[in-house]
Amino acid sequence: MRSAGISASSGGGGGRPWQSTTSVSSSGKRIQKEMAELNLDPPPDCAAGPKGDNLYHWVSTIIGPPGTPYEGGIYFLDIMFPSDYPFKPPTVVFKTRIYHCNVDSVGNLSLDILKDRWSPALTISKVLLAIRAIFTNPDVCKFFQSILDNPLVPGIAHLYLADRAKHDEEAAEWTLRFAR
Amino acid sequence: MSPIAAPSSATKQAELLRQDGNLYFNKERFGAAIDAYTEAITLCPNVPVYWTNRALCHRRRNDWTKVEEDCRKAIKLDGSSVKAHYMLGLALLEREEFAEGIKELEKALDLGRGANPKSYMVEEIWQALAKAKYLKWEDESTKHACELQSLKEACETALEEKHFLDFPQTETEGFLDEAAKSNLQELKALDRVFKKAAEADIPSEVPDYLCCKITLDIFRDPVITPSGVSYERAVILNHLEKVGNFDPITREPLDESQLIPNLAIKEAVQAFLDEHGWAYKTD
Repeated sequence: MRSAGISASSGGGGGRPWQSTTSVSSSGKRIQKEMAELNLDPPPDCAAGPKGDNLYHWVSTIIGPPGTPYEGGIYFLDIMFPSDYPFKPPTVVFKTRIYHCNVDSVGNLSLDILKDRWSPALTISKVLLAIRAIFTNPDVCKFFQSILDNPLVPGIAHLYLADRAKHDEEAAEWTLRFAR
Repeated sequence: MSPIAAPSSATKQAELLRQDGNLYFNKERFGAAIDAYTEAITLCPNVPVYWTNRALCHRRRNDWTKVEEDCRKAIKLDGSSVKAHYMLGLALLEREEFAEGIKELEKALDLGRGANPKSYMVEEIWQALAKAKYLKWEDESTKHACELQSLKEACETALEEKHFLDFPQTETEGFLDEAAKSNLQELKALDRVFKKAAEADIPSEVPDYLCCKITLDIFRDPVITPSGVSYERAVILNHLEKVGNFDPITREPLDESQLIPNLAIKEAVQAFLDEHGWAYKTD
């Protein structure tokens, strides 16, 4: 006995356009979750958080791991989240100069998980751990697979493979000059 | 037999008034929209949409008493109106009628899911429901905490009185020390018991196994992949569309047709939420 056809309950044309009142975007929510998790349990020698009011722009520091030529250096990174994060990877740029075959002279970083190997199950915490890992083990192999791929600075990769001692000496000097 | 006996011209006129109302609403002229819908209602009082549309105007003006009146009327005319149940729920929550409000929102969610599970209204109702359950938990846990606090104070006073009666001031020095020590121990034990009792009401963390690895949030509609990993349905679909056809954690090939609802996790989530209302917090 109800006036069928006009009821809007099935989303039919009779009703008002329904206005959404949800405020926080899903990317923003995810970034907030990551922030809370990082505060609670940060990866070793790493710190990260929003630069200012903008949730999508973070700064991070990584301390050069002991036993590497980067030991004792403090490296600043800029992290930018895309609006469709985590379906697109964040952009990470070194703000501190570093002598490393995967980081070019303006701080661009080549890391497979930030490009074609990105997965939305990765978090900033895992990205920082991966960056920390290339301090210890630079990604030189890819150079031989494809000249267009990693590493960004083939000269440094060559030296790393040809004369590791000289490479480390150079890297340690840069650490002293730029990262202390 | 339809109770609408009005001549067709009245029906037409009311429809035109509804359209006017919609135009005013879109321009955020809620007063004018309310007038138009009111006229439509006068002409054809048995059309539920006129009532829910007017309720929506009242909602935008935060006139919750009138939202409630119009929604109740609309529900009488059409018990399956999602919008009427939804806004009635919101109005009841506004009056802090948590239990009743939650009932209405759950009804709206059921009806909405039945009609169109992927509609944005379903998401919006879910958000409102989660917020309502959080508020209900907050309300209850605050009361509970007050109760515990006053009970604790009463127990402490009782212990002190007992101590005073057992060991009047005239006793020797050494004996008094011993008595004070045992009193202190009793007070400490009491503190432990009350801390334990309050634990359930203290927000902590949702266990990882109840959270999606992509949203990092508690599951609502978990699906499991052939690799055995569970994800939030809407989000894994988004991933398959935007990133690629692989399992985000194992990187095994994955197709939408392989996703299966994970009912066990869904039940575990509900059980956890029933015990820990704070986990409904959505922001």
